[in-house]
Amino acid sequence: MNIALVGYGSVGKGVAQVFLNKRDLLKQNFELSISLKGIFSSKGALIDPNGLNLESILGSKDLTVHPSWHQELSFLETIDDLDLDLVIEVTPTNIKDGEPGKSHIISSIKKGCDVVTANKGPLVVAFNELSQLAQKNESILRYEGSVGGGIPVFNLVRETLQGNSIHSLSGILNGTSNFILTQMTYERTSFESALKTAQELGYAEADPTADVEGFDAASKTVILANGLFGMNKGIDDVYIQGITKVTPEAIELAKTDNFVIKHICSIEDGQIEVAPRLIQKTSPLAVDGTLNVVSLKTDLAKEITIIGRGAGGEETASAILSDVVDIHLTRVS
Amino acid sequence: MKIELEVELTDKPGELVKCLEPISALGGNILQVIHHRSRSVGKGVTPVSIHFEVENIDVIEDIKNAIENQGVHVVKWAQEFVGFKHVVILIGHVFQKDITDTIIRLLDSGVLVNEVNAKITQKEDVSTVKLSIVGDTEQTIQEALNLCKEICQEKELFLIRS
Ligand SMILES: NC(=O)c1ccc[n+]([C@@H]2O[C@H](COP(=O)([O-])OP(=O)(O)OC[C@H]3O[C@@H](n4cnc5c(N)ncnc54)[C@H](OP(=O)(O)O)[C@@H]3O)[C@@H](O)[C@H]2O)c1
Repeated sequence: MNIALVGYGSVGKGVAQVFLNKRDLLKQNFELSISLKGIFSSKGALIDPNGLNLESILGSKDLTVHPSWHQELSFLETIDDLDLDLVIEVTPTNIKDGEPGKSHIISSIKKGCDVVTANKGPLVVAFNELSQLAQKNESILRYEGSVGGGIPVFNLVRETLQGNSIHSLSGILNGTSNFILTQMTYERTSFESALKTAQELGYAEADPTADVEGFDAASKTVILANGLFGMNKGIDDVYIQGITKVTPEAIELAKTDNFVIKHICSIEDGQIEVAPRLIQKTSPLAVDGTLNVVSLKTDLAKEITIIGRGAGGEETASAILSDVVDIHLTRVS
Repeated sequence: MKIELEVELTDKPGELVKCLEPISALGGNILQVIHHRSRSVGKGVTPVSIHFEVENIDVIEDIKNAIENQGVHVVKWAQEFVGFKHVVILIGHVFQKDITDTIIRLLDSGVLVNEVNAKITQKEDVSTVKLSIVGDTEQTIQEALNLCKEICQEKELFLIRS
């Protein structure tokens, strides 16, 4: 399978590493051999029409000194020359217009490539446009890594809950805000001080707005609403409340009734919401630290809850790899 | 609603099932079964307490009738109405924005506000207030929660609900 990797940050590197580590397993179990034709960053690309040598790439700190490096060569300029089967799109998320990911995905689909992405931007701004385009061009678009990192949500439903109707969904989809609320709960600190700890530990970015104001979680919930519930929603359709106004007093008062405060995403009766909520301490939703959780209510299987790591290069690469394998198996059958 | 029922059962197989089956069949959730062997009333008859809860209070009479129709002697039937309880926490100028008005409007919507807890911080006079709301049905509670959301928008308060 000829693949291009667009974006070489923590997720892109995780994917390259996993392709290398799992090379034998993929061959043995699925008769899948991957040839990575190009790796793209914002500054240029590594290209080798015969397949890049992952050992040497992962071993080198600076891609720009690698013999296969082409300065300022972009994916859109190269796509025609690479004879690709599949494109992995993992450039930064931009929920305003979805770029550059959206153009990357559209061009790939139009070239007849299958696409696997963890980039929320294009899915939030143009979910139905991209799905329809993929359908029209008979290409497969998969996005397991875009929601909940390593937790398999879409694949769980598609592969194992066939025939179930999903009534509602609730969950925690942002590890940073969950870490902050957990810190406030157990250390009895203020929001500001918990945020500072999160930043010091590398769980929160210097500008934490997207995490603490709920925009990141809202983007993921929109993707779930469109991908699992067949809705046609955008970020403006979500009722969003961040966690910045949660006081230590609120957390203490909640405890007296055996509640914890969690930043909960929910899809119920057509309503999409991201807001701090009071959750019973014993509820499966009450997961701590940076963990993510998704709980589905279905007609046949009833309640199903999955808990796991919502971020991380290797965790997200796991989701991407499962999409790649699934597409491979679909294509060969 | 929680119900405690006491019956006298003869020590024969299948006697307890005669009570439990109608409760489950009509949607009751059995919480506890206690055999009061020390209070056995001779001839192999033992008083048994059954604690169960129902979501829909309309089925209570049916359950009682169904048990009695099995020929079981009901000694005691105690109903404790706890209703449906939800908790909301309001943050901001909760007192300055007339908390009495907030509570009265919730009461007017048909629920009971049976507990108010407040913590006040010196910082910016922000108070955090927890209200426990009890209603007869899940729907009255939902309506009260929606009203609470409206009040909080109007009074610029931050709402956290269960
Ligand atoms: N990190 C996670 O745990 C995680 C989990 C789930 C989903 N995601 C999503 O996965 C995507 C990647 O995340 P990340 O953490 O790997 O981000 P990142 O570390 O910021 O990496 C982004 C990569 O994209 C490259 N890039 C930017 N513009 C480009 C363009 N026009 N063409 C080609 N490459 C371009 C960047 O190049 P430079 O190196 O030159 O800057 C960088 O290599 C994001 O959309 C993110 O939301 C991440």
